[in-house]
Amino acid sequence: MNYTYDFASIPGLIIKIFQAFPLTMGILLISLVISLAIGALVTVGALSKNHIVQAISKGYISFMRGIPTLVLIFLLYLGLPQVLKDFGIDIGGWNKAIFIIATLSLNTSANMAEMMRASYLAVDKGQREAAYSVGMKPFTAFRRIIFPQAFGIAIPTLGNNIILLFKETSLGFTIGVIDILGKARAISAASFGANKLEVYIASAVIYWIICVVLEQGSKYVEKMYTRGRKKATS
Amino acid sequence: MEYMVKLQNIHKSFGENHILKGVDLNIKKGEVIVILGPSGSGKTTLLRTINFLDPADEGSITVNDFKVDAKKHNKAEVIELRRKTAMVFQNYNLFANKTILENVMEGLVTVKKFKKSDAEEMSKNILNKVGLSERYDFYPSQLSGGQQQRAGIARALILDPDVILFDEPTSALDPELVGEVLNTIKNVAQTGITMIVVTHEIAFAKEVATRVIFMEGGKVVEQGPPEEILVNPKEPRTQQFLSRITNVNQKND
Amino acid sequence: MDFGFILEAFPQILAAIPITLLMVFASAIIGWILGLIIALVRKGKAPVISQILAVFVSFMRSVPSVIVLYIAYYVMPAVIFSYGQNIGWNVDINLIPPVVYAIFALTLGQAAYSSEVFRAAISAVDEGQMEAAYSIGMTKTQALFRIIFPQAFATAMPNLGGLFVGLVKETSLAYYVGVYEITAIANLLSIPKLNFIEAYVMTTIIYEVLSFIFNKIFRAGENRLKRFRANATA
Repeated sequence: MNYTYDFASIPGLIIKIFQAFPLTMGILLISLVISLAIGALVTVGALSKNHIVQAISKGYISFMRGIPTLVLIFLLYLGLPQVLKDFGIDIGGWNKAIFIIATLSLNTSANMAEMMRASYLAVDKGQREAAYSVGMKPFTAFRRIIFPQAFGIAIPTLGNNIILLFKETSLGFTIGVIDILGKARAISAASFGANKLEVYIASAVIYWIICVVLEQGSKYVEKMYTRGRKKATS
Repeated sequence: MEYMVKLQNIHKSFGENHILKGVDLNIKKGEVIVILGPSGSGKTTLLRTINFLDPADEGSITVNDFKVDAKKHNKAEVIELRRKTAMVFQNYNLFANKTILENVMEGLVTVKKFKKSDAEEMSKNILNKVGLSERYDFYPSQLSGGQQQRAGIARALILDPDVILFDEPTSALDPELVGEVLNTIKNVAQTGITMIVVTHEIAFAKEVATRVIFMEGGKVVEQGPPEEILVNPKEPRTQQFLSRITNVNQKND
Repeated sequence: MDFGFILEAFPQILAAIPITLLMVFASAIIGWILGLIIALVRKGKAPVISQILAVFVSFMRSVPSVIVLYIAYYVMPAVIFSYGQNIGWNVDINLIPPVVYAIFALTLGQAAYSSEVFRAAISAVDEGQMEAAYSIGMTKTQALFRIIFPQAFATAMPNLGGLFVGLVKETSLAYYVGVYEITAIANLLSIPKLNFIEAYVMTTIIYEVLSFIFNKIFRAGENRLKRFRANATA
């Protein structure tokens, strides 16, 4: 048995694989927006005084947190078309990226809902009372007083959730989406698998760099947003 | 042994900030020393250099003839020194994960290697003395500040130290709880143990101290028996400090 | 719905639970011990090694698990092989089951994630606790094991629970390096007659039940460890 690796080829591979960056970012951004929307809806449900709505919302969160992303992908990509076919709906020909976006949106929405609920509850009760005391209506109080503070609290978790979501986009390859990892595997397949290790290392480096950038960005946003506020409280 | 505690030329800086500027202090067995001084005068830092929670930069500390040099010492010496002293903290610092009884037993079992059953009996005895006989199995978070501080005193006392260091033991307490803790400390003082107390309680100093030390700017400004220092201080800085403190007290009354 | 398939396949998928749990427990136990060591070393600010560990943690947190799995899968046999040759031992690497590589990769991930959890938890213990331990004459080791760690574990528990359930889900990716765990078996069984929906609903149920059980266990552990906090006991 003989192992020969060509580590000098990695920089070149990184550049090639990076061609898939726009698609990956597209999947990330669309999933992010949808997951925030679903997350907000679920949060409203989870905070609702209606017990049934509350139970459904919390059930949704715990279901999404219990299922592996991979299984959800298979469920939506392989299972769902079969079910819909029985109802005469054919989604088998849809773009594969749609299934990945759907999976990541659902999966991430649970994290987003948890984040929103925790941040909302972390805002001091006195803030709402103070807003009412100066005559604000509930929605105005939420928009002008509660939300800006909850958002500040949520920024680090939001950054973390975006990074998790970004890493999850790598699972697109499992159903043949040509995102970063998909591209890497395609390159490897073109050379009959001779440079498997090199392409995986190259894609690892890409993920690493982008995650570090996202992390620094999240820290920067947090610093800018909470500037002044933190000083005043400490 | 001439002195129970001997501090020689203690210097301590935090970064650029020179807090202690050469403090010398000799304390005989059984003395109750009260250290007074404005905030920032270095009194708490001085107390914390005695058991190396804040290691001094220069000078030496001797407790019961065991001398540790600030510049040349090893871990074993520091631990040995700490085993000769005990401390009561401003914020009690009871072990949050242990019950009141376990807090008091901890030093006996872990450090002094007592049998658990003996340690438990001794700890219960001492807790009874500080009025916590009903609270053995409570966790610190379930007690009032005054109760926690009395448990803190019991935890220090049970180790039978050569000297007990009190770091502003009542300043974190609600006013109505100060009395019970001061009474406990007075009882401890009557047992003849050597004590060093950093506090702002002038009345307590008058009643309990055998010697009052006034510090300012990292130095001992004046010292002597309480009736002298507290009633007729010679140094203008001491006079100023006392008049400010007594004014506040009178306003509060 | 193909009930014949469900009756036939369900026991086979259930039979894959042990290998999933083997990966989970092995990588959680080894990984968390390593994580605690990493946290302590980084807290101690040992030169060079702290920096190396910081880079390791950043890498592991940034790179998707599936890539780490692939890299381990392709690198480890070569490493084991050449090490074996060095000590004059001809290892037949084909005899090493892929689950070994999967456990190795997952363990590294757990070490990195848990080190961050432990670091935060140890920092959250009040400084006065260490001082109090010193003041009664304890050594550093005594203070850490009797006072600091028990309190830090109570703080870390919810996050460790999250890591653990995340790990259960992560093991589904071991399918891609040839481990016959739950998802792999379900997938293999579903292919001949395209029983995707049945296979993945069963898989989902199994993961949901596992997540539920482990969540409960960690919640119970959390309450036990937190009994010393006033609000938890009241």
